[in-house]
Amino acid sequence: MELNEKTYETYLLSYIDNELSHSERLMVERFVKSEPKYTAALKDLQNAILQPETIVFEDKALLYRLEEMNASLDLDFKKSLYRTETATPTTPVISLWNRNVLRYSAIAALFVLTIGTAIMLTSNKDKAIVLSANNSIPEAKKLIGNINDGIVSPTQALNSNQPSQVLAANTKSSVQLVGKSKTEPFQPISIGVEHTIIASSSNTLFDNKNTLDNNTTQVVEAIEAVASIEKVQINKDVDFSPVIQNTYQAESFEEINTSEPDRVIYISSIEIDSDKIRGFTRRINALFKRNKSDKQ
Amino acid sequence: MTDKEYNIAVDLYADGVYRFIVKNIRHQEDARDIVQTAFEKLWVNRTIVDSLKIKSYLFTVAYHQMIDHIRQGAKMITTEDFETVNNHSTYQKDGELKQLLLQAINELNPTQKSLVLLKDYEGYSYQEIGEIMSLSESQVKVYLHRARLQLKHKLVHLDKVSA
Repeated sequence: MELNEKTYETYLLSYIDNELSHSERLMVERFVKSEPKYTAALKDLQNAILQPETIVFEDKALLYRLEEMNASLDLDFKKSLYRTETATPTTPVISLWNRNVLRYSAIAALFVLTIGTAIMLTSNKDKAIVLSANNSIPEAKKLIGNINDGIVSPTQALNSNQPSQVLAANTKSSVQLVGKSKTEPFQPISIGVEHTIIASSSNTLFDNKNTLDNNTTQVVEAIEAVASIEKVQINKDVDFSPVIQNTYQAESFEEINTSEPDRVIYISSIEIDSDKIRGFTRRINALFKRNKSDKQ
Repeated sequence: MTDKEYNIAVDLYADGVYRFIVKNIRHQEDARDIVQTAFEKLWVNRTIVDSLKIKSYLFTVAYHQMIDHIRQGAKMITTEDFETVNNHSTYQKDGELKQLLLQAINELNPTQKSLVLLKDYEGYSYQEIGEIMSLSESQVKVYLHRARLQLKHKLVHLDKVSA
């Protein structure tokens, strides 16, 4: 096709579409330079060509076949991508439930510790009394033996210095033990072997026990207990009443008005300040109520 | 085509296919779907696709997907849309040739627009465009020349109006 006035537009269009051969392109370029209107026509057509612009498809990750990429990757490269755990110090995490358990456990442990301390102090006191009685057994035995042999009368024994003091001390201790056995339920395990022997032997050795007053009975039981432990026979006709009257002071008891709000509270032999106890219990109750409301 | 070549094709051609589709239908979400479908078909047919024909295969599949999409009445911004008019007024203010050309391109029919985009953006020959669009080489030449002249007249007319 010849390049002329009628066909030049087709040539120009093929020229801008880069569809001409090298010789045809040179021919068109010469033709365009021959006339300014052809140059303007080529310029207008070139203005109609789109200039490439960059538009990125951002979802390429959806298109990749990762299993194939993974298979094609080098093993060392893949190993370099592995995440390695470093030894970092971890802070212990305690859940709220465990904190409450720990708090309640601490309160319970404090309560148990208090009760345990009180019981331990009480048991040590009883043990000290028993030990005191046991330690004086040989001397009491010696004194009772002298009484039975007629060497020393109970009154002389009382008036003499050293033995009478021993007897008085022993008697007082023993009376306390016996007194406990009469006012409290009989507990062989908690009191000890000595107390059991006292209780069991009190009705067998003395026939005239009923003629004695209450205080005398207690003292006789105590001495009897000491004697029975060492299997010493005591003369039934010996009158212990002077000894008892001089060595034992009768105890007086007062009935406690339990309805009185300000009464003193005793746990074992420990006096407890009731106001402080009430404050303590009030705090514990408030703590429990607060935890309960928090959970709700 | 190997599996590795497929992933390379993603790097090389995904942007071009997406640009071709989104410039035609001017709807990004639908264009993403069409591109994804094209690469899915490439993956399925990777054993029968020649390594040298990967690009044309992708454009062919994407183009026909786009035609189906247009035929199904999907949303496509036409020349009567407000945006076009608004772009025109923008051009009058800015006087930029590029904006005017884009406006003129959007006034072409889908076939002419595809021809121009494949020629100018991708640099395909008439023959390759014919293969992609299922047209003969002469048809591509005629349709594309008509589109060029149409663009030229639009540009000249708008240039005179703006002047």
